[in-house]
Order: sequence, then C-alpha cells, then structure tokens
Amino acid sequence: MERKHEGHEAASYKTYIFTWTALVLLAAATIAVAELHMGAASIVVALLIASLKAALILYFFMHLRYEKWFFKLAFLLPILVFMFSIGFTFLDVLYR
Amino acid sequence: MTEETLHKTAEVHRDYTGSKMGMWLFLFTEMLLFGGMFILYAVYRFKHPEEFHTSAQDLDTTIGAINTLILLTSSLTMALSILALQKGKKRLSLVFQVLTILMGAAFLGNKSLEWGAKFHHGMYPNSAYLLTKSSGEILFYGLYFVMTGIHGLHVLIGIGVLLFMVLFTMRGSIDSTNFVKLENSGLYWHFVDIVWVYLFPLFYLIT
Repeated sequence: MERKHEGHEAASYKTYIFTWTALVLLAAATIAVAELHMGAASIVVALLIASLKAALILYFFMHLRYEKWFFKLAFLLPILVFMFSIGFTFLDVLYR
Repeated sequence: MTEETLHKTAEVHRDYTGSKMGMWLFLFTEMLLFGGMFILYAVYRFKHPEEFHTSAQDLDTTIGAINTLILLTSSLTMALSILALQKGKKRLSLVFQVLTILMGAAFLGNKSLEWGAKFHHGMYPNSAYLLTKSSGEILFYGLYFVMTGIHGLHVLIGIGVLLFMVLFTMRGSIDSTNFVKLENSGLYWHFVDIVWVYLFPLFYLIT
C-alpha cells in the first residue's frame, strides 16, 4: 500500500504573513473609502474590496491554491445559486 | 492478502479528499444560510437607503474596525497552526491554536460590549424604544442583531471546535501526517472570517 500521505505540500510562513498584510491593508482601504462619501459608488467599491479579501482568504488561507480542480470550481456553485437568487429577487422588487 | 493485513489496512484507512469535500459541502450550505440574510439586507437597504445610512452612523466603527483586525489576525494564526503541525512542530502549532481561540474570545468580548451599550440605550429587537423608530431603522437593527448574532454564534462554535483540536493535538491524535481535522476546523474559521469581511462594510460603513 502506498505510504505517502495525501494532502498538499505546505505553504510557507512568509506567504501567510504577506496574505495577512494584504488583508489588513484592504481593511484599512475600505474604511478610508467610506470616509470619501462617494454616494452610490461606495457600496460597489466596498463590495469589490470585500470580495478581493474573501478571494485572498479562500486562495491562501483556505488552501484553494493547492487543491484539486474540483475544489477550485465547486465553491463557485453556491455563489452562482446566490447570484441567481439575488438577481431574481431584484427583478421582483424592481418591476413589481 | 491475509486476514491480518486486511484488518491493518482498514485501520489506517483515511479518506483525505472525502473529508475535505464533506467540509466544503457543509460550508456551501453555510454560504447559502448567510446568503439568504444578505438578500434580505440588499432588498431592505434598497427600499430604505436613508434610514440604513442614518442607523449605520450610530454603530461604533472603531469597535468594528478592531474586531476586523482581530478576526483577520486570528485567521493568520489559524493558518500558521496548520502549517506548524504539517512541519511537525507540535508545540508551535498549539501556541497558534490557543492564540486563535483567544482572539475569537476577544472578538466576542468586543461584540458583547457593543451589544451591551445598545441594550443600555434601549436598543434591542422589539424594544419599546426601537419600535418608535421608522420602519427602515427597525429593519436595519433587526438585520444587524440577527446577522451579527448568528455570526457571533459561529465564532463561539469555532472556539468550541478549536478547543477540541487543542485536546486532539496534545493527545497526538492529530499530527504531522494526519491533520485533516485541524484543516477542516481552519476552513470553518476562515469561512466565519469571510462572513465578517462582508458584514463590516455593510453595517458599519454605509455612507
């Protein structure tokens, strides 16, 4: 029987610390952007920054970087379901 | 294959990919649990933009920002604890696991201060004071208490799970060759962090 344990090669401490630094800077950016009072655009910018942070967490901290293609793609499914739900909800809200 | 080797193979059988897949499937249901609440939030914010804006002014951005920093840092120590264990550094991994738990507790401590101040001002779901407000504000605070409340509950559960991981690591039932339990706990912890990444700007930073 094959003895090698499954699981991916380890990342490095440095990668994680860089990821954390980027996340903290983006959190600071989202607060700074809110101070600019950009009106309707502010929600778009806030969501873009939040999604960038989520992507960093998924890719590095949650190891999607090292996973098989199945894991890389599968998590898009609930996001797609969510997009459809919110899309159709707003079709109802907007054109009722 | 003799009876004995069959037995041994069964004993060491581990399905690493299966364990991971199970955890991700569970997280998908969690994504949709929070997703439903985010849809409600989106509709009501769309219908009451002014009230959402004025209500958000009354939330303490400083506490929100501190909690963001705490959770992001706890995600770092969580990831580091797995890496340390993979490299066979059990003590270091335990230190990172305990740090993660402490930061989770600090997050909840801040949250209780924040909620306590709101309760003190008569602001809690269905309170007489809250019900005198406009419907947009009632909806904002309803969503605020439910969404940050369920998120806080997830942090609490995460702390509970990590306490078990500390125990398992000390006992040696998770180690550098068998760490999927710790990895899956990490997935849960990071997921809860991601939820906060969206909650923070959507509740505290509406301008």
